[in-house]
Amino acid sequence: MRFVLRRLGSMVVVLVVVSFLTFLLMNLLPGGPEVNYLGPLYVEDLSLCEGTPTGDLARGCAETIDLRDKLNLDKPFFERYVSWVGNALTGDFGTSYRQEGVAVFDIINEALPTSLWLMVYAQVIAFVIAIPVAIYSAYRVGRWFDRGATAASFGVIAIPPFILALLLIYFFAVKLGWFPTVYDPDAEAVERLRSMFMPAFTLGLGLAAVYARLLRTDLVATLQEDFILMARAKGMPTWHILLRHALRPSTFSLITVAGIQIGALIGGALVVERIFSMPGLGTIIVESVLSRDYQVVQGAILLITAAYVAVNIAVDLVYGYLDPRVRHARAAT
Amino acid sequence: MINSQVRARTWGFGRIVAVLVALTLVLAACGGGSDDPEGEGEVPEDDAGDPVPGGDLVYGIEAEADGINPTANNFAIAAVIMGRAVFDPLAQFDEEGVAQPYLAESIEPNADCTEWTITLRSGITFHDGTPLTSEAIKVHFETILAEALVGLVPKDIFRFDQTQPVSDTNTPITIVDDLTATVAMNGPNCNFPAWLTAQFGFIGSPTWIRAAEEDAALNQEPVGTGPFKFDARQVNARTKFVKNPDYWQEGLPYLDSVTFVVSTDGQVRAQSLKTGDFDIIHTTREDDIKIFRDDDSIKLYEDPTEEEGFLMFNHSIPPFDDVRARKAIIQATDRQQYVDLRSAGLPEIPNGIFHPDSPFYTEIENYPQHDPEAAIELATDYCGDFPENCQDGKIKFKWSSTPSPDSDADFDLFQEQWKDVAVIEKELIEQANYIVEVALGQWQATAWRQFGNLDPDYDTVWFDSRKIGPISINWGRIDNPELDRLIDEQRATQDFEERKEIWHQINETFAENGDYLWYTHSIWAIVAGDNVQSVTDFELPDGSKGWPIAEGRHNLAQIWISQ
Amino acid sequence: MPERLPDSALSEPLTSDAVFHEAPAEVVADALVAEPGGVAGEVEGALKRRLGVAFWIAVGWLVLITLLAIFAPVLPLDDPDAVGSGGKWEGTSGEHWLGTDNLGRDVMSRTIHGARVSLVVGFAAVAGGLVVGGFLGLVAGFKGGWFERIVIALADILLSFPALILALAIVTFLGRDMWKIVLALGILSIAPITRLSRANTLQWSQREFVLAARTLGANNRRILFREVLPNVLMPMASLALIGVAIVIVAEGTLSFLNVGIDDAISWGKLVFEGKDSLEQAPHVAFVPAGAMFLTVLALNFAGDRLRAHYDVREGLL
Repeated sequence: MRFVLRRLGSMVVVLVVVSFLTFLLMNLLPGGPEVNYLGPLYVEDLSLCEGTPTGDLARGCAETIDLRDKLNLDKPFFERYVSWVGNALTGDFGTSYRQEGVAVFDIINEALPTSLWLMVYAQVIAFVIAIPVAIYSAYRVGRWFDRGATAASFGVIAIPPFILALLLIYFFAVKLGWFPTVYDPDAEAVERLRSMFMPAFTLGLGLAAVYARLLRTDLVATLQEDFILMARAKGMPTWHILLRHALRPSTFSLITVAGIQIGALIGGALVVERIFSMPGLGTIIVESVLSRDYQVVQGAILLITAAYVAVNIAVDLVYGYLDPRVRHARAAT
Repeated sequence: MINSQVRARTWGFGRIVAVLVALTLVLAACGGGSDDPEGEGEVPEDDAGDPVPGGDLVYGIEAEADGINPTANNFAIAAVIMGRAVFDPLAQFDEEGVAQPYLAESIEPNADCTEWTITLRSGITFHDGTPLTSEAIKVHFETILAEALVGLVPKDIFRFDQTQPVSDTNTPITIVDDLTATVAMNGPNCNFPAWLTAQFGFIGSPTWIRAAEEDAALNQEPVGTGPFKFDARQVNARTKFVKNPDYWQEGLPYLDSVTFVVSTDGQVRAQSLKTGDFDIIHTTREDDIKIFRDDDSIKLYEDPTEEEGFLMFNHSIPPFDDVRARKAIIQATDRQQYVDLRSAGLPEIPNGIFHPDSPFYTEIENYPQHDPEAAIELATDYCGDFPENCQDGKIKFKWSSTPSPDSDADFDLFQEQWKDVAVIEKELIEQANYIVEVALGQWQATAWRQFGNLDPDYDTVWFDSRKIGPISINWGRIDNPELDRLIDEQRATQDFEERKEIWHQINETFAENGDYLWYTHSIWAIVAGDNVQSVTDFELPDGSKGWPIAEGRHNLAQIWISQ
Repeated sequence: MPERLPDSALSEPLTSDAVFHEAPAEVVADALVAEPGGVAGEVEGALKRRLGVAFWIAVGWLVLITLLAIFAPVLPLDDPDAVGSGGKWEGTSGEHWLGTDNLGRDVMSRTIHGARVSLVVGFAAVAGGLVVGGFLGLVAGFKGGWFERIVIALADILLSFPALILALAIVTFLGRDMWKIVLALGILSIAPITRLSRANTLQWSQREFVLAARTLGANNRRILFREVLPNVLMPMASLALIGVAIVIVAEGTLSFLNVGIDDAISWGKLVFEGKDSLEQAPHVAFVPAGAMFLTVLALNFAGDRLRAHYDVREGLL
């Protein structure tokens, strides 16, 4: 229990620091959100407005001062930070500068399912590839398939996601035209699976390599256990031994790592969504950083960090619950 | 009665903003020109018989719009094409490129073109049930004029006290009766209807416009009189419009719905067309257009009279305040190589702002052509007088650009071409700040796109010396009284041949002073699947044929899908 | 310290992944988690003692690409900026072995010149991270106490921040010339390196010879730099190779998102430039992509083998 509380406490600290850093960083970026509203009329250097400006400058000055006032940009930094955090706690992340007036919460809320689907899909693809490969590799340890799979996993791991994405686009979209990447959030399940295949595969293939190596190693170890030898002596069919007896005890570290990978997936989704122009959180964050829509960036980062830290804690807790050694170690503190 | 020479396009400024908002994409366009203007030659014939109603059209667009409110958002291509679904413009171009009343029943000037009277059709309602009355015109224009950014370019053509906010007593709009309003011009302006063919003529429901002023989120949910009603929108993904059953044009539209899907990668967009995920797409990438030209399984519609790509010089600071420096760069440029490498060899090399297919096109014979020796001579001459602006006898300057592969390629190419006359350094300006920096004038040269309007009147602000100031949308700060005089002259005349002659003089003046380095005409191409019919082929309410594509936008109500 | 076990064993693979989801990061995860055991352990145990042919092939490639990068200016290569040296998008020819790009420039020459930038960025950023993070981790692991707590807490906070966004913001703030990108990626590499270095230090500072040195009256600084550091150095170097791979890919990712280096050509930037012509000229993107892939593969492989060779204990990381 103390352990849980401590982890939650550290989560709060992390979130406070991250939110502060985010806020600071976004405020340091050159070129404010005013540009989005005012374009060439934005007067960055307000000393130009002294005296009696004329023509478009007069208009620019008036609009800029007005807008800064409206957006509270002239308030002290710390005051703005506190009010932002205060609002964020009530679910109010402010409104977007780019899609003027649209609540940041709604933007994130709309994009979130896309990102979540992508991550789940990537995990599924990873498992679908990894489990059979691992089982067959373990079944024929050291044979050509095993060696090939090991070599392939090394190769796969060395392909940067954006290059993998490019290869997929080249072969499946440009050459074969099988999987163009028109993602439709309202489409039926089958269509959605098709339209999300390439981005999910890009994310999933790297994971599959990791999972396959992991599971194979554990399976090989399990297959040496006495109860497997016993089962074999009893004349059970090989597939039955592999699937029914060996697989389950071997998946412990796989499941742990799969949980941990959610953190990496959040990061990976940022890149992959952008490449495949999917309207998920990643696309929104990158676009927003570039267009200085920092209300959106702040909200999204806070959310991602919270999710990331929470997943970490959850994995820790589950792991601790599953593994008695860890439970005892914790009890000792 | 409309002046028969009125031809215009009205979103040049939106385009400029588009350069900034979707820079990568817009800059990806590089060049234009084809053997045939739209509506002729290779344009596909629709021979699929009579239109059948029904069907859902999916339109792949290259960028997303920040909002779809013509009085609040600057309309770049995405907003313009979506706007055509939900709004009706007051005027549309006919086959000759003349702006004719569309949503308006008539648009008529007084004797000296200082006041225009707009009369609306009766019995039309907006999608929210608000009736279309002259009140809508008033709300529309006044909101635009009050909006800093959207009103920036058009405000100068209207007559009102510009130092004061727009109000009931300070407005160019006067309501005459329920369906009629007058608009006061700031001086003789015979080209006004052409301004009403796009954003500034897209009339939204006044109820909605007022509500959107209070709650800007409503900018995402447009309400117009158009053939399609807003249905749903997810920003950066898709925006769906459904058939307006009460549309004022009998029998239209044919489609049940139009969905615009953002697809930023040109190759993926093209492939999605082939797999049928998209029914129709648009593009400005010449390399793709070249491939489409050889593809019989699709329909290709090209509009080569688009914006010119050019190097913009800052005339207010060295070195390009000196004509020799400008001409040295122009003559050092091998524009044929540029077009071959960067624009797939498709566009013709421009000597002025008009493509040969434009009604305003004339031969500009005094444009300085590629001549490396002459360029070196000019540069040496200039550097003799101003060694402080030179290095090793070559003109030294900064090339300002936003980060994108296309501007990199332009820079790399020109750096090589100019290496005997200039030492250039790249100054990177983040996209978000680009337009501000350019307006403030602390740059020397930058690659730009502009002058795409069919009727060039809209494009005069970019070189009108009266627009120069600390903030200047005469970006290049071209200060030439001769040009100002020509601008006013062409605006005040109703005689097309006279205007054409004036524009010839303007282009010659540009050429003489080396004001711009023109290097490409861009092309807008609309590409549709074989079963999509009547893509650009539509009729105005009086039964005459309309202009097929202007600035990438085209009429949507007449499109239908055959089995 | 039993408490450290669950904490580090679990969060290390996660946190060392710089959230870029670069595959090499998973090598770390993979390497860290997939400790060989049983039969597989025996097989890999044998490999552990010798580095193997594949290792030397990987090293060979790294040496080759490094030499090419170093001597690119004096090699008989086309000028990488020579526009129109060939036609647009030409394929393989005697003049241009790997074809030309959209401006008729030699793809091979550009790829080799790109290696200069990508390798410099990779090694420089990790070197910077090693100096700062390595030192922090070393001291933290050795001294423990409040210093360790603070360092680890800071590292954890940095690691829970989405790294790509951090990189994006730093780059937008600082600018995009090569050394600023190096700085940004160097900053990002500090936190994971700190954790790795601390974990390695922990492992070694418990060893008998350290205790022996202490018993003999050696002072802390002497123990740290004479006894612990030399032993931590090699495992850290092997992990650093994997780090270089991660940074090279990270730089490529930034370029691919159009926020990369602006004043030089890196592999990532070349791939980005080439991606718009996949249909017409796939080689423009795939030649630099291939070079990047092989280099990342070689770095991963060499790093992994070295790690196994120096027997880095994953459990303690």
